[in-house]
Amino acid sequence: MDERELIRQAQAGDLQAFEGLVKGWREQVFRIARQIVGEEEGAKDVAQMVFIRLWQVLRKYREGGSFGSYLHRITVNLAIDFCREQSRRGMAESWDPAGMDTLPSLPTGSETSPSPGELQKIFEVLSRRLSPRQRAAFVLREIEGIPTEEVAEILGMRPSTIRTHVQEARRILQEALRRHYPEYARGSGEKQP
Amino acid sequence: MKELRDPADFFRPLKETRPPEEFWVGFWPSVRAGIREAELSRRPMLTPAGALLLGSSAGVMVAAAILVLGFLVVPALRMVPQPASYPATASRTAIPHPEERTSPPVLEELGSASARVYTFHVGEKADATDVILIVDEAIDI
Repeated sequence: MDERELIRQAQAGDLQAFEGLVKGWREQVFRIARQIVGEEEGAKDVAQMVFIRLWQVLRKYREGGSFGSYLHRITVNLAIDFCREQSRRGMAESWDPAGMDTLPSLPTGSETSPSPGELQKIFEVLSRRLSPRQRAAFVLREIEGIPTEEVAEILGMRPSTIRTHVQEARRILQEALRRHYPEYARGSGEKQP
Repeated sequence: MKELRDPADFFRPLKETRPPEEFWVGFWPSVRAGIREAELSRRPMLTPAGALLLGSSAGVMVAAAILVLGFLVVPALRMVPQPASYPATASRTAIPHPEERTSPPVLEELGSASARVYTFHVGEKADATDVILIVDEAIDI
């Protein structure tokens, strides 16, 4: 069954069809939530909330619009709400350069790449310097590869604002990488943005 | 000297990270439970039929209350003197009006021939009362 049909049936109240949608989108939803929230368990909670919310509002979705954008908007909004709530409760991890010591020892040499787990940890620590909107813009545009216009639609901003957020996020991350991970800061001759 | 690495290129492989399949165990049941819980909390307390039934029951109860008031309570109230009809000195109703006054009740049989009884009328109208004084020299205190 294709996605349109699953959406139609789920809109009519078919939970089994909705489960099909959840299985098809859960990895991306979780991945985006994880990069914004910065930790696995919180991101899993957010992903579950995203699908519960999606079920509640799915009837409002109209064919023709991008279902992915619709779902990503819910994801980003709930992930940012989660960050704010954690921050309000004083539970969010703040920027802590000393926390670098807890990172796994990384191989030396700029040609080597960190393992996926190490890369995830580095992003979690460095991206704490970004605002939630900058983080969301960077994750959607640069990691997920979503076009700028679509990111603008998801975040409810103008494309020019998205470009500014992404540029600023890149600058902050590059500086943090240079200071704290010099072994990874220098590429193999890639062109500067 | 090498250029600084673009963080977008550096972090792009994060898109390829996938949690193991066992990570998703319990995910859908939790979502389904959340959906049910949300639906229960949003559902109105009464269905339309329930509301109609409850409304009908309430109507019947109101009608019954009106009947009880009309046939039992109101006639019973009519039989009881209204508080406004009582004199302001209602607490003194034990003292009869001077015109209706009869002799004071017998307090004690006096067996003594020397005993004398004096009755003083004190006060006027509604405040009038009798003070009875018994004098007997034979009383041995």
